[in-house]
Amino acid sequence: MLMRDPARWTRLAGWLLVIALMAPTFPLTGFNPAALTQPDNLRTIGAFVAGFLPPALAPDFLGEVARETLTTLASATAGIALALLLGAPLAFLTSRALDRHALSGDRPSRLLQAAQTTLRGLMVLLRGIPEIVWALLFVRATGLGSLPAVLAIGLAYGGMLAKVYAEILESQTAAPARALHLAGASRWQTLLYGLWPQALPELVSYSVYRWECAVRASAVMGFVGAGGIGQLLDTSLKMLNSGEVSTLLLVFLLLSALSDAISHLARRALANRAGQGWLAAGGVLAIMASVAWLWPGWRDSGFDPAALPRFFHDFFPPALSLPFLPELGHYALETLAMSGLGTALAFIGGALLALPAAGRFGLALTLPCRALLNLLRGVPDLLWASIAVLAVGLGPAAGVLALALHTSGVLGRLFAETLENAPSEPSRALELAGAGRLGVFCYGVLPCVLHQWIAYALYRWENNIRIATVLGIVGAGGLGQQLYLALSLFQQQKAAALILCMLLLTWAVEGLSRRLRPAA
Amino acid sequence: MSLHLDGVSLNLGGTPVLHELTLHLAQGEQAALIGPSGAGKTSLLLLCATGYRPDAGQLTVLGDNPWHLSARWRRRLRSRIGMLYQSSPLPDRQRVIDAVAAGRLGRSGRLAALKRLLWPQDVAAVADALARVDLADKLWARCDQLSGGQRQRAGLARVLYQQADLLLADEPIAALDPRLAEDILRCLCADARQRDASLLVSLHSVELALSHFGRLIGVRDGRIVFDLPRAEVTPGLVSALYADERLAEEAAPAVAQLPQGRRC
Repeated sequence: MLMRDPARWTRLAGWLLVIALMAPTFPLTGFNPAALTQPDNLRTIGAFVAGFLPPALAPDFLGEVARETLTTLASATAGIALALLLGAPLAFLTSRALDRHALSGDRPSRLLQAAQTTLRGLMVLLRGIPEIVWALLFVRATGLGSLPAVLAIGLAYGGMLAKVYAEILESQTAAPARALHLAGASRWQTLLYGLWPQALPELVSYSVYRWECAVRASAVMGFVGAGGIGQLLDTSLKMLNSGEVSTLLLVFLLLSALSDAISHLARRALANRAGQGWLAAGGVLAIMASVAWLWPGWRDSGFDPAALPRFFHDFFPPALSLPFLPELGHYALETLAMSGLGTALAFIGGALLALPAAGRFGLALTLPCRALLNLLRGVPDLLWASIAVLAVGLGPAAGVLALALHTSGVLGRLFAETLENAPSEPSRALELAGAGRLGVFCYGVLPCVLHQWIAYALYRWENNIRIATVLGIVGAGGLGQQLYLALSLFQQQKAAALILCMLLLTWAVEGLSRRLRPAA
Repeated sequence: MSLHLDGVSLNLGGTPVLHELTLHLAQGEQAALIGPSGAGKTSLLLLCATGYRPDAGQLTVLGDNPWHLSARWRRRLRSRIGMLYQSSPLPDRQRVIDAVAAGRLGRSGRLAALKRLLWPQDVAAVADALARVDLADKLWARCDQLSGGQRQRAGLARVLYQQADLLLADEPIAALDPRLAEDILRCLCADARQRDASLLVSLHSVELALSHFGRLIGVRDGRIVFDLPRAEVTPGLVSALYADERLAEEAAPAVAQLPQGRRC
């Protein structure tokens, strides 16, 4: 009989690999847990948090908050309208569901295929650059205000909508479209009569969901000067005015809940004919009202569309010279380290919070822990990053802290759900055999949930790499911080190289995860 | 005295499940529980395993009333009670060695339990327990690589490894083929005899109960109908015990069972 674990070397190697990957992240990010407990830092944070109560309720301030909240909503709505204008035609032109050669035995047209490839490349680029980076670029090009936010959402989400719309069209039953095509219908007619009727609910539902995301995105765009409550929050944070910060945080959470509710209602309204009418009317009205609300600001901003090509021309060619490449590699590595360490800390934090949140330590702890998880998750990562910069200073350590806090909330909730769904028989049996709490957890609960927890954490890590590239825009290290610096110093070509590096990093991670996923 | 129930009653969710049961099991004694489904066999066994707290009456397990003990001492008592389930509650992704080792969690310190999860300890004893159920080659396998019968035997190996003073088994062979069922019962009885542990087993098959146990306890509607040596159990008694089983099943109070099904 085999008395030694046949998997012992694999297991040992696994542990060593984890240590080898995690150990360098500390020096790379300069994250030092001890810094958080330093009396000076604690006092600053303590005083700041103590000032949260009472929230600032001065009438002029509240008036300003109301105005900026409307601007946030209007920017999101106008941005989605622009994204629709951009995404719908792109989807129409690139969707394989409408291609002649897919519907019949026709030979594919070379010209169309070349055009489609170009357009798909454009779509990848549009959605590959994060919306906050678009916003940062447009703020430099067109000046402060809500216009950059609308343009940023329009471009980034336009690329996303185009891809998803095309995919939705491709996922429909092809038979009606094929019949129409064979009867001589054009691309347009095939869309309108063959695919449109069956795909419409899904298309609208996805657009509404994107609007909800756009509200959250537009709320933080103020951090780069693109208007909305983010801009107020940025100012209040920099002035350490915690009363105002707490009011704005509340407004932010309310806004997030409101958009969630509206999106939910809108998707329910899709179910019946009258609801669809109301939804269409409401959508058009909202877009018109948004543009009307934002128009005075745009008119006064003195934006000159002719300046845009000149602005973007300066980015070429990207500064990919030899001396800059190692530097670029270093920042990419720093970004990866931030995401890795942040996710690892969040794994621990999420697990520690999930246990009480799933009711394992009594009801008295369940509700506060759930509330804490909701708060951690509800405040977006960029916002956590600007708070973290206050706590631990500029640099990647703040990014680690921000990712750890936000992701703890996300993972904690998922972990708690897994715990609630885990079978209770194994742990009950161990309890009845006299096992203590830790024993029951390690032998009865953990084997049931661990693989799921690891899968969630890896998925989140992938997401966090993308986020880590932009957190630096508010000073939390990595590629984003260098991009911000380069743009501030008018080094556009260096900025282009950094954006290229961001794109490559995200694509590499996406490709890797797509390749690994079926195997896992 | 290993088990001592005196007028014990149990309600679950407001429904009476056991009515004033009186039952004694001496150290080293072996007995089988028989009766129609819904009679309360599972509840009775879980009550003896300190899984439920009786609503009335006197319960003494291995010399102590579990519900008069502090939590710490109740844990110690529980570590001396071994329970075998109808389907072994082993997590799918756990390795067999850890699943069996978990039988002694009640007697090991916290850190020792963690340590052996990272680096297996006491492998020889675990392997020995597995060898006794003819599963030696599965020591390093994962539980989801086991068939239903192998899984049940792994559950038995855990109880053997626990070396409990009181062994309880709830329909341990219900879903197994006859030969395997025979083997498991024989192994359980032999282990109890060898260590002078007491054994109480609920069985669906009256034949198996009669062939392996000297004492049979008939349970119906939460009451003990008879408690007799094998020689005195007549076919008439048995058919009365199972009379109108389908009717009884419908009318029977909801008997609490550990929720079935393995999902993890």
